[in-house]
Amino acid sequence: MKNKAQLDDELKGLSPFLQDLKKKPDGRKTPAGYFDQLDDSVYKKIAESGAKRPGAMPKPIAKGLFASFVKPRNLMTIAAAMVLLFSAFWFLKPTQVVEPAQVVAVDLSEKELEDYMLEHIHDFDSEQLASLPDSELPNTNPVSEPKEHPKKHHEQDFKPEDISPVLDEMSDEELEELL
Amino acid sequence: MPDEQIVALLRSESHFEQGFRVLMTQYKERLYWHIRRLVNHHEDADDVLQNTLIKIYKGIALFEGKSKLYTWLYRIATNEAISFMQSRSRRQSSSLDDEGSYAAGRLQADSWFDGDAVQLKLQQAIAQLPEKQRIVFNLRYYEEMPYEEMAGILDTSVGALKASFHHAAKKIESAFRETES
Repeated sequence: MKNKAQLDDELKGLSPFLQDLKKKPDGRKTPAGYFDQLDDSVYKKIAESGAKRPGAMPKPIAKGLFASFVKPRNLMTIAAAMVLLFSAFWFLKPTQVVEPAQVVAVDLSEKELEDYMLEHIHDFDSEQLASLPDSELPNTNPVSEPKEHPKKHHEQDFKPEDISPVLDEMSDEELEELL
Repeated sequence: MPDEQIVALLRSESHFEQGFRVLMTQYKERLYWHIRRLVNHHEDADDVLQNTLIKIYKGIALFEGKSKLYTWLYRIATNEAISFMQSRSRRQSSSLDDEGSYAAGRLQADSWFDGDAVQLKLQQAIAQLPEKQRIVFNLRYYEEMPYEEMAGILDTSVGALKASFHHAAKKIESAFRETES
């Protein structure tokens, strides 16, 4: 009734002629008993078409908002998305590249480092050792001494007059060997 | 019987056939008149309706319950009627809009139509409308269907449907005026 009243209002404003015309029958008819026989005709056609009886309509697994999630198609989509996300996380996560120098700096104390270098001094190239600053060179002297340039050390300790007696005491072979 | 109960029967393995019979009883006349107003001729409407009901029987498992059962049934019936008119147009090598002229001619030849001259003129004017306007006009004018329900069947906005109905009504009225003048 509400729909009819709404349509009447609409037609009243739009076309009073069509509103009047609607009250008359439209002249279409059906054969007598047509709708009574229709069901049988439909079932006969279904049988003729060889269509099997369809299964009952699937019952919804869930209702409301979850209903759209639990459909097999959506579940497959969600699973695929999760696999992709996990793969992306696994392969794209930043890997920490640890350089040897950092390992030494982080894991070893200065003393341990120095001991290691002393033990394996022959494993180091002379070029590597030469490139190190003095402060980082291992102290080969077992007793720790103030780090000074060897040349300076000798200049302080020995005077020309002290050296002369020593040289006199040395044989020519020893001097030659020393030089 | 409410749609919810019909759907409940159709979802039950043991009551499926009963559910389908109730569905046919409840909707066959409404679907018939919807189809008949589109294709005009009784025999054509009978063919289209039977094909529609067979499609509903075979495809009922595809009804997901997102829309109303009634909307889903009307959509199938509308599509089936449009397909029928398209194939009829192809057979006559004419466009679907020319189908209107043919349908109007078929109406005169239909032994199951006994309307007066005014009714015949009205049916001819409706038959001359473009396909979409013809469907909207029939659903609104004869079946008094609310625009919101129509939108669900035709996948069109309410505004566009109102505009279609207004255009159609104006065209039909002007067709009558032309005849009078």
